[in-house]
Amino acid sequence: MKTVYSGYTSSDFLTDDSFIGHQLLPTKTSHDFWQAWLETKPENRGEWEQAVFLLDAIRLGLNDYASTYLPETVIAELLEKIKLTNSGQKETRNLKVNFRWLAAASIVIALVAGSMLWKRSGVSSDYQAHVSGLESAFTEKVNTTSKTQLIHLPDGSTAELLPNSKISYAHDFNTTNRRVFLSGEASFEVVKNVRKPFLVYANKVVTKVLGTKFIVRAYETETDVKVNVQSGQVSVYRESADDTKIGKTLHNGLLLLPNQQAVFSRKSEEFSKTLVEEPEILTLPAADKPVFVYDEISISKVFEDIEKAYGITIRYNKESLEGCQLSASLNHESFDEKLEIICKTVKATYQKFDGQIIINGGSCE
Amino acid sequence: MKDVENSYPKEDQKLWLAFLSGDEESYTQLYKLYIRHMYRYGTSLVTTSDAFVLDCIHDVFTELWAKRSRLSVPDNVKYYLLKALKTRIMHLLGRKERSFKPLSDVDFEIFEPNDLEILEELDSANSRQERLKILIAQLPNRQQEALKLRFIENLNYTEIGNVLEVNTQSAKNLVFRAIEKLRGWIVLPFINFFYIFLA
Repeated sequence: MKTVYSGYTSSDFLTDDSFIGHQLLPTKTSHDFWQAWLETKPENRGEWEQAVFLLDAIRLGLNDYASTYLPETVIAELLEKIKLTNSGQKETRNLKVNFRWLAAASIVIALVAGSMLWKRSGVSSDYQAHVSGLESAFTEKVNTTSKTQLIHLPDGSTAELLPNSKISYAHDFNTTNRRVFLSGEASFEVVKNVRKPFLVYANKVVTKVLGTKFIVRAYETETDVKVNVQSGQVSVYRESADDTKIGKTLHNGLLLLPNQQAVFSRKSEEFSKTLVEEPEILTLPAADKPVFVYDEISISKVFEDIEKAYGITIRYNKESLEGCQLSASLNHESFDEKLEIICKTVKATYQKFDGQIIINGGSCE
Repeated sequence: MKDVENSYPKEDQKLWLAFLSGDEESYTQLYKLYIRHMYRYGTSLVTTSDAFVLDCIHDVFTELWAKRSRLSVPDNVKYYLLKALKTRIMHLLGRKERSFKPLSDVDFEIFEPNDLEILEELDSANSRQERLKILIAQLPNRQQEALKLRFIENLNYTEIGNVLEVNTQSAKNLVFRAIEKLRGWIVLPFINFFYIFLA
């Protein structure tokens, strides 16, 4: 048996690749080796054990690093972006082939021109197309800072523009209607004006409102467009060539209520309706605001309160939950926490579907 | 044991080979295999925005694609990607690894907090994991980086040396010093406690 490890201290073991490799990813060979080594009853077995102990401690201490969170959506979006850049490279390579007979200097110019063309047509197409289509003079606000910027629109409405986002509107904004073009993300607070609908154009999605608070998220680089309602009512449509149709029909569109969100997939060009991630209690007259403190109150009353407070429909089997009661105070809990507590009490589960809550099962024996 | 070869995933190299011949699917798979490792290592290197790290990962992968006809198959794909990411990040930040300075200078612990301060901080932690995290955070940055690369990313000391732009022995020394320090904090109280407990 090799004696290379005799006299090793725990720190020595922890600077040995074979030792660490075995601890992290043991193989049959490494297992057999260390097993045999330990069976020779080495005098420094204590150090070996301490090394194992320290290694575990270090890995536990680095657990936050090891489990750094990266959402699937970000991974997918970045991959999309990478592939977009790669396909751009293909174009420039083709250019190189086409112009091979030219002098070297011309090739450089061609490549630069090619990449500029690519940028114009590929990356900021939708927003750019809208803005260049505007006839009269227009105003553009670009947020190049790292903080949210508050933009005041001519009609008194406001937009909170997120970093790397831009918004523009024509000179005649507020004369016949109120149209803004968005690239990126902004949260709008719109002054009510029933005769002049407020329209946000963003990546083929049109959001139409009369007066309300909502967020549009439409980055050029993202595959989805999200519209998120905080108060009032909002309609969203797929943009059609014929502008006059907007607002006349709900065809290909959705009506959104507070705490609902529309997600428009740019790939499939389809909308889906979901709930916002963290639903918030609506602004209601004080008298209508539920207090969420219950003492032997029927479940159906509790659901009614939640529906009223959040404006979210809850569907459940009235028969099987008849006679179920709740004693709890839910005034500090979030929307999801409230539902979890209720479901636990009545042994049910819930799911979110099409902007509603569905309660499955449940009984109160 | 010394001569047992490090078993890098053979699967990686097959994917890499397919990617070099232009197979986009394999390229995508490599991306999906290592994006999380690259992201966590990248964000641990810089205090700027996550978006910056994502941009750097974008650059690494697009450059690989552009240069694929001229690349060879690395022994350890993960090491290759982490190293490429760090190079890209450092390049954009206009920084160089301070490889020309002797390690003792770079690693000089001027701001070493005293044990009392550490104890106070430890007091506020309410789990063993939290306490260990605090202790590791006391170590110089390069030692922490070496610990992450060795004990989480599972790079060997030669690879860590390359990433940190020092030789293999210096990479080991970094970890050795970190371990000695941690052992003083973790094991000795543990043993004392143990003896008192058993006595």
